[in-house]
Amino acid sequence: MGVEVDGIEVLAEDEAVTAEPVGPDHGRRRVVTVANKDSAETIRLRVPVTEAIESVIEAMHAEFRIERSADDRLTCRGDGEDVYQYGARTLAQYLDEGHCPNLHWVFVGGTGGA
Amino acid sequence: MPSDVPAVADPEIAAAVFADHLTRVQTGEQARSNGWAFTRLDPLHVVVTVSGKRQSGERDEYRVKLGAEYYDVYPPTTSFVCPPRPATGNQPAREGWTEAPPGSRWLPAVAPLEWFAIHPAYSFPGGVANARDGVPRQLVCCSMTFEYYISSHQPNAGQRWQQGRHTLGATLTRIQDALTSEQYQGPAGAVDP
Repeated sequence: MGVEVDGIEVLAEDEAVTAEPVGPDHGRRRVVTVANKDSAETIRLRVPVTEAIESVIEAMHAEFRIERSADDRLTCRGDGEDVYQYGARTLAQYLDEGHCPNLHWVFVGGTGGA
Repeated sequence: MPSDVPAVADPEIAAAVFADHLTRVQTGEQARSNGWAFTRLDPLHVVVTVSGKRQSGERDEYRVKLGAEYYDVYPPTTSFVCPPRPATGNQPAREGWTEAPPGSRWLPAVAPLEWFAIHPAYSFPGGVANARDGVPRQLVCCSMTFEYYISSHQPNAGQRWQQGRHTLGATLTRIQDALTSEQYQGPAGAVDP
């Protein structure tokens, strides 16, 4: 079983996810997958659709044991759209507006080079 | 004379942390989806097979050697290497994992990105450990490699490697991103020493 924090449940890597009916209301909970490119770890969070995106981000930071840095980027894997800008939306609103339907996000910190 | 070279890590601690991070990366979804294959050489070194994808769709395999000499206060030492091979008709045997030279089939060519570059023959400052004095060597130029920090680069706070936040997975994801970017051009050449 995963660990639940403030209604957001962290799923174990091998934990099967029972599909909930996804209709116009997106079901009651959805699974958000976040790939952390700073550690190459990937987490899955089961999130009530009434939760704010900001809460999902906080849960992500807690699970990765990191604090937010100005150079961090959190984007949708499909189209690269920034997720941070939607922090005030609920997950249901975020989906209603058509953002990142597969809820697969990519987190990465700043990188210097060249 | 003061040295800019970081002190090497306690090998037992470095090996333990390296092994822990390596296991987490190796068993993760990103390793599976990227097709990374891991060859552990000794407690402080691993070679990871990664692949590049050209704009034409053609794929090229490379071997990245990561070392834990300074881990994880600093990122892993990082270089593209030539794999061992037995002697064949007109080619000598290649033992061990030797650094891929300029123009090598085992060294990728990547046009510089803002956050990543590969310098086939970089002149490290004299006296710097892990560089052969006076002899240019390869530099995987990215703040997620150790060599970045001994080559006069100045990352800002958000770009700097942070112990506890970054793992060797960060090194691999940056390399993978570069090798699947539009800047990836294929092998640097045909040299196969």
